[in-house]
Amino acid sequence: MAEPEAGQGRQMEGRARPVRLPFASTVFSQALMAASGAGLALFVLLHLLGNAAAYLGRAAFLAYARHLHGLGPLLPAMELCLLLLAATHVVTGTMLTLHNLQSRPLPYRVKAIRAASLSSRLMPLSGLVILLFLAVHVPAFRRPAGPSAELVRITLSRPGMATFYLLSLAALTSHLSHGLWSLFQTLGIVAPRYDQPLRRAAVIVSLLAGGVFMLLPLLALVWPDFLR
Amino acid sequence: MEKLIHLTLRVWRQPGPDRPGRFHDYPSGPVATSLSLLELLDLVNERLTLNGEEPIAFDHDCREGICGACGAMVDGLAHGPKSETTLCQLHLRDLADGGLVVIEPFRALAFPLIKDLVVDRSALDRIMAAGGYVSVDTGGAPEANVIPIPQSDADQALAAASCIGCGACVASCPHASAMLFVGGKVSQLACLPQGQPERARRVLAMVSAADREGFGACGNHRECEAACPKRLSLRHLARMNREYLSAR
Ligand code: HEM
Ligand code: FES
Repeated sequence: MAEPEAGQGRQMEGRARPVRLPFASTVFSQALMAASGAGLALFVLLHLLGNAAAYLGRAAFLAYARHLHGLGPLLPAMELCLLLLAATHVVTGTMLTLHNLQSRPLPYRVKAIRAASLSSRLMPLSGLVILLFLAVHVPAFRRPAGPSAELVRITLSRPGMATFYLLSLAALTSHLSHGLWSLFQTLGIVAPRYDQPLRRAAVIVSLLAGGVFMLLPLLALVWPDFLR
Repeated sequence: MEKLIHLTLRVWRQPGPDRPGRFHDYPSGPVATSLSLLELLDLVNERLTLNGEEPIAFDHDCREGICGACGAMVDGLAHGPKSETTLCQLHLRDLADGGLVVIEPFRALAFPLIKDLVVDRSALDRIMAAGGYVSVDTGGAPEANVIPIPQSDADQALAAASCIGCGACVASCPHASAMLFVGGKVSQLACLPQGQPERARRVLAMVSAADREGFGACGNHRECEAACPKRLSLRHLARMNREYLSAR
């Protein structure tokens, strides 16, 4: 038999204290998540195309990177946009997660799941992993002076680093597979007829993206001459 | 002959809001599968009363799936394992013979426990009071066909209006969000001409009332839609989001 436990009625006291509300409302905060998430996802897909150049060999990779650096003042402007999007997403996501954690102070002793996917329930966790990843990845590979294929090869051929990359990319895949569908629902852009196809497309796109990203550290790990 | 089964009910017992709660086991003895789970609780309560013990408190009224008064978690699912069914319409034939049946109250910050399986769902009433109505003066009953409404709008409004306010959406949501409940009413009235004058004010007021009560934010887990005894579609929630964003 279960141990006696504190009463759920204690939640009355919880009611008396104001619940911390993210921005204007939960619905508005969700919309911020969806809009910033959509922007970030767009960047991720562009980034993916750039990385795909590496599979064409060192010359193609460097050509892509030089092209990027040839954008002039456009590049820092894009970086600033990304930083703002990411900051909005992380701050709002953290506040929403804290808000949601307060909404059921006493968890169920027995809880079953009917429809929610694993990736939807892991959103805060996969987001946190992506944040950690960015904290390592961006300082390591951001090169205002110009691109370096050696840097990429040397970094990714270290087994610990490659594993970290693969785990983080798995988190990104999971985050996108729910997020790419969820954002449409949050922004109210839905037609029931296209709901199932959209859900499937979100999973397929995120698996494809995750797979293409993951190939890079995998190749660097097993093929010493990669990008040489 | 009616089929008989044996069950063990593991029920959350808690004498009051500020008293500790715990699970208690109640063997059913041989019972007919045509009984509803609430009728089995009635039987258990008769026994408890005869023994001078406190009966299990639970909410119920119509017992035919239309009023929304009943509700509890059965084996971790709001209203139990049968879909599109209220707790009162869950029958023993829907459960496995010889099994353990865990019955727990709906849990949410906004649903304070009163006793055993009874929780206070008046937060939903306060959300409704914030804007879930039409207060424009419509005069006497007009001729039914004076206001043309497209059939698809009427169908959607009717589907949204089928919410019985049981709270299963909140109970099953990982974030204890009430947004399917709010979305149902907002969507219903947004589909109809009578709802137009107060359209923007309504959605803003109802959403902020839900936030004030301490319900969580919707993460589109879709547990609400799956648990809803009336199968309210998530499309109503999406329409509410749209209404909210265009009202701001
Ligand atoms: C490349 C990076 C990222 C992309 C493309 C991305 C994309 C998305 C998208 C599309 C959503 C769905 C929004 C919705 O439901 O409407 C989402 C939700 C979420 N993201 Fe991210 N995200 C990224 C990084 C992060 C990071 C770094 C964090 C946190 C540290 C994070 C935390 C969250 C959380 C908690 C949610 C769920 C919000 C909710 O529904 O309650 N994400 N993300
Ligand atoms: S008692 Fe009325 S719906 Fe269950």
